[in-house]
Amino acid sequence: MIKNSFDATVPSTSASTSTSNVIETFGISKIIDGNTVLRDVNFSVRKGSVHGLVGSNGAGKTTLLRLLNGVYEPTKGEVRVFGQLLVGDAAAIRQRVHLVSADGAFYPGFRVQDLLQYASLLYEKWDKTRAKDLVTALDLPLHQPIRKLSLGMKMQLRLAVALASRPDVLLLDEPTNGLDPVVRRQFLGLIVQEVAGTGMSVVFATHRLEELEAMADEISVLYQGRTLLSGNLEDFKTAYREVVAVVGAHDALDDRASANDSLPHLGVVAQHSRGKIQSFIVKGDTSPLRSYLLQSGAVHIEEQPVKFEDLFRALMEKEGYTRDAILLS
Amino acid sequence: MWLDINPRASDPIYLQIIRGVKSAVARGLLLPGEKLSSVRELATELAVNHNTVARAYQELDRDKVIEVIVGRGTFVSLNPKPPNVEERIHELQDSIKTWLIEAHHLGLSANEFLDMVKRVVSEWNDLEEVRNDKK
Repeated sequence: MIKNSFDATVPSTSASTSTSNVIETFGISKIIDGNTVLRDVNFSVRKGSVHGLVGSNGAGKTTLLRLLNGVYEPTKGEVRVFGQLLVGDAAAIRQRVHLVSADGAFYPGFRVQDLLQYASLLYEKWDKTRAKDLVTALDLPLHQPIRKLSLGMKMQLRLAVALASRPDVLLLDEPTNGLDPVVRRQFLGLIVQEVAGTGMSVVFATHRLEELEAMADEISVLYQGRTLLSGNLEDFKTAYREVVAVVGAHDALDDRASANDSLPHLGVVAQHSRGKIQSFIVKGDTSPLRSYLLQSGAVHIEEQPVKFEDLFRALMEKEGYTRDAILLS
Repeated sequence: MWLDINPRASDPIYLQIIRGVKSAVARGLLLPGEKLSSVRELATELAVNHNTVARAYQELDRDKVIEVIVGRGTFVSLNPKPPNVEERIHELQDSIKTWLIEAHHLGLSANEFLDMVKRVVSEWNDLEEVRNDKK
């Protein structure tokens, strides 16, 4: 299912029958302290997929994750998990949908082994062997008080607890903050392994686009509480192309093409110019734009796949979200 | 690691894996009959979605670069016989034409271009000898 206000839709290759979705939301909104944090979000997670969630700061990613395991209740709309409506006491759902986030509090005074002991009583499907293996793999200090652990070590502990509780869905909120590159790779590898081995589904909110591109098969882009784009990542990458044109000495193209209203009809969703070089992000067939550019005096035209980062930036710019470089004197 | 993946590159990751495996086989880093990591192992190692790795393996299998033997694992092909050989030789020929065009614009004559090709091929052959000595 594709929900998309970004100019057009991309056909998804994945079947999207409701039975293959472990999580679905229908028009959910969330108002916190009078602020609309999420607005009419439709979102789904296929079984066994890794769904990446990106967006600007304050886009509503954390709120969405909290709605998915019943920490929050939506102000409007429905959340369905394994086809069941999520209402009231969500303790049963939290056995199967596990949220890992940096602001999850620990009991004061707990040591690492106390938390593992506590979790083993809390989670019905607790896997003792798995917990032991994870403690070894992640080199967790069993006798240390948790409050003395570094940010990254706390995150690894949360992941160990999450994976040992054998959830069907793992929700991750910025999980790799504070991890060094070596640990980050191991951390992500553990998640991939679990998905490949057990068919666990993952929703993964991150600001690191390179992680998202490597890990995710589906993505959603959130901006100010709305979904701008949602669907299969590979499909997006093949649906959009970047066309780079070099204009002649008199930059005839600049005058004509820059302010041309017909560009959107040529499939252009974003454009940039730097001196004599103009680049366009195009959805679908690029040949109309190419012939238009040739007519307008382009001396050289190149085409290449679009980087997800550029697509993301184009989406944000279209929404008016930009940050220009500022020289501070 | 012999397989280097850059998630930020504009090329899809599965293509990078396909190219990496093909290059490793051509360079002799992977030998015919050698066992490859499973999809799950490689995905874990690269921290890349397993569907992406599976897709790359499927295409490599279809191209007969590797062979998937059910229950035993994935191996580098002993008899690599890719499909559509003729068509792909044509494609290869076409891509040589684009190098010629580039050479022309760099001011290289046809002969200078040929010399360059010969040099690259002989360097490749030298490497081959070193590899054969090691076997």
